[in-house]
Amino acid sequence: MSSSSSLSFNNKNVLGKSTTGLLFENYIKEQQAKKNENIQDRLFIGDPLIEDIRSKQQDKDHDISLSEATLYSIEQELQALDFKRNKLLTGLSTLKQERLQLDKSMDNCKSNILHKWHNLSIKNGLTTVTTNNQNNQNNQNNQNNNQNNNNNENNNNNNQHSDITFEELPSISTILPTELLLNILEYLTFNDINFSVTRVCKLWHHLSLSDSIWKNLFHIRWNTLDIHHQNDSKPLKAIPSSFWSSTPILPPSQAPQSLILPNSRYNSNSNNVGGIAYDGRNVNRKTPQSAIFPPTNRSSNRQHHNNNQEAVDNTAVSCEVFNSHLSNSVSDDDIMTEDDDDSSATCSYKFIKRIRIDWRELYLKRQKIEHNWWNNICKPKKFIGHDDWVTCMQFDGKMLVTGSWDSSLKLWNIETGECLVLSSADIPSGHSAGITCMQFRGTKLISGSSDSTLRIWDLTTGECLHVLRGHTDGVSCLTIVDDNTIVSGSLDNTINLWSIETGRLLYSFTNHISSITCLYYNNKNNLLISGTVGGTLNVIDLPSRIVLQTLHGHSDRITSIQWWDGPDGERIISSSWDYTLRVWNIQTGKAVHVLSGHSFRVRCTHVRGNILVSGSWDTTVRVWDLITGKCIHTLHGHSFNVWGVQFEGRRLVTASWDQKVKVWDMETGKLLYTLDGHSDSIICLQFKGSKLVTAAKEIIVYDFDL
Amino acid sequence: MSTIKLESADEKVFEVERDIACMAVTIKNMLEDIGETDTAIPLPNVTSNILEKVLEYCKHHKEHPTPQQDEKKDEKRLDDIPPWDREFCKVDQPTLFELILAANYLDIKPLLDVTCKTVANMIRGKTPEEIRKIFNIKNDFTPEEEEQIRKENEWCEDKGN
Repeated sequence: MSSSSSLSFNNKNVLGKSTTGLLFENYIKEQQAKKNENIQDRLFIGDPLIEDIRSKQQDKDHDISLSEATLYSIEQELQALDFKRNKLLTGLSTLKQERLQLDKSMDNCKSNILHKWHNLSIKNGLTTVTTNNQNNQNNQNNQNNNQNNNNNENNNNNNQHSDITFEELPSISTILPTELLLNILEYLTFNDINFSVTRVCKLWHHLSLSDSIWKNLFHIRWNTLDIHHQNDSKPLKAIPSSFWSSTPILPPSQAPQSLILPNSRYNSNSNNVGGIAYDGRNVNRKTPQSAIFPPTNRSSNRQHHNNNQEAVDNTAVSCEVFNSHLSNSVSDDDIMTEDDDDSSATCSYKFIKRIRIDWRELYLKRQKIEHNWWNNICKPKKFIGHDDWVTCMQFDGKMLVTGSWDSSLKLWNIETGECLVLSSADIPSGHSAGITCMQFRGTKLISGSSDSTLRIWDLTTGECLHVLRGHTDGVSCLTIVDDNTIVSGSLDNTINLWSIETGRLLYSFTNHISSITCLYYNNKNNLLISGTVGGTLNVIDLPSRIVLQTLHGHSDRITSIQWWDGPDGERIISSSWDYTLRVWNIQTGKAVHVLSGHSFRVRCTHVRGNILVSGSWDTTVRVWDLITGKCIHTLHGHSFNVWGVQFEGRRLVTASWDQKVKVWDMETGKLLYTLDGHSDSIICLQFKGSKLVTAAKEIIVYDFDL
Repeated sequence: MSTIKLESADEKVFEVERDIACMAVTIKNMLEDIGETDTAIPLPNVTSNILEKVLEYCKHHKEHPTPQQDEKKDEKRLDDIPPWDREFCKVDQPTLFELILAANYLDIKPLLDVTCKTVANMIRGKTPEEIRKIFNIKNDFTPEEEEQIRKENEWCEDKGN
């Protein structure tokens, strides 16, 4: 009923009538309409039943057209698929054919190669077994047919070959002479050589130990052939140890250094402070009997003490070695001095030529040291001997010289802790005020002091050779120009040029208007660069003594000057108390980059490659890309002024007034570890090879060669 | 363009441009010693198929000279084989070895370098056992010796640099 009522409702809407009577009338009309379509259509419009059927019809029509369309598309697809299928079938057959071809050519190749192997082995006289020879001949006969090919025959051939010949095939080692094998092995990496090549067979094992391979590996790994990082504490394998001293285990640095002792103020004493400590202040009166040097010509205040009790049977030889050591240490020192070829360099060259260098041992040793550096495996030795802060030091891997504000100057044997006092308050020939700067080359050491003099010392005897008077105020900086010349800068606004040989003043640059704070000499261009309290830098051509450029830009004291051979030419890098660093083009005198970011005075810098590292009083260390002038890393970790930075490879070492030394991975900017041990603010930092030296009032040598 | 004749071990004569032949320092020196000649220079250590390859190499590099890298001349690196040379070295082992021997004998440094590099690339990153298989080398170590060498070379690779 409900349906009928709803129908009537519909009708009411459509026709505007509501009576059931009308419905019936409609039905009659519909019946009539079958005869006349027009009328009928109109008659049945809105009839529920009709409408229902009609909608179903429409649905079906829709479904039909939908199916038809789908069918059509499927048929299309089928066609396409069929096409594809045919294409694939043909493709497949060609691929199969090609594959067969490859099989064939593989067989041909194998056969060819075997043939070649045989020829090679015959050529090398390696074919010994007669049956093989026979087969060999067969092979050769067949080989001729091979060109015209019979596949099956070839296969048979190959089978035959592989059956009999594999054992007897010549190997690479029998064909190539040793020097060519070595030539090949020299291209391999450390891992290949050390883990694979050496374990292949006896011959390869032998080859894997060869010097030429390891020299090459060394060169690639450390980008240098500077071996002096290495041999500072252990004699090279090939030298008889008697060459160094009578004791086989005695390190070379010890034997020669002991030769400094006889005519010198050499005192040493060991006190245990923390780890191992040496006290250079205490003069040891109990001089033990030294087998090498009978205590003959000892002056009243020149005590000597020799920890090294071993006799050196040939003093002349050792002397020669010592001198070579001194000259080596100069020529390979790339931090404090520029390399140059002088007479001492030739001496060291001869020295190197006399020995065979075991590059493998050097490589492995250096690798171990590097590993120790990264993992904080080291032994600290503490040296106590200065009453005030160490203001300057130079360390070449073997010799360490420290200058202090207490006016003392000391040469240390870092192996034994022995200390040669060059200058101190009680020595008449010594400086009378704090040492501010010093540098040694060969056997000569030059020191500058706030007593406004410079002094030249003979390191072998400890004697003061010359006192250089000329400055009217404290000497602030000095640099060695060549074997006979030094330059010093002073608070009296002058730069003086001195002769080392005679101690005479050669020239005085008086055109500066403020105190000189630092000097840098570049021996390639003979250029001297000076930095001043006022912030200007001067580029001086030393031979002509003409100031080529004055670099204006910094507004406060210059603290360091570095040289950078960039891709676009020579550059100078200066750091300043005005919180910035500047990269200067010396040709134009303009700053290429102004490196800003530090929030306090920049104190120290180090440049290697295209990387600059700067340490600042803002407690941070920044790593800069010199090409772009962008800061790559800002290293936070120190809690006080940073006073020393130095890096090598990825390893960066920094020292600070917070009494800490920190070692960083420069690539990631991560702190690797912190070295404790100092009980005062650290002023100086320098490492060379396996040894790191830091100085506050006390000196600590961290030895990573364990 | 003057030409000279080279005779391989199996008595085949190749006529090549003088400049190309002179890329082999050995031939260059020979020519300097004997002066102008029409007779074929005998190369008893090089077979014809190898000599053909060698000459192909020389010809290509005469026409496409590779720029010299002076700065790295002391360093031996593996990653700088030019594409053509790489293709050139896709030969079987005996041919490769014979090329090395020929390059050494004829004194053609770039060819010697590139062939040696190719062999080095075959060794690189392989275990000792793999190397033995590739080059048909017999393991003549006793197990004790092997163990000893393994111990000796137990080295921690460091991360520095």
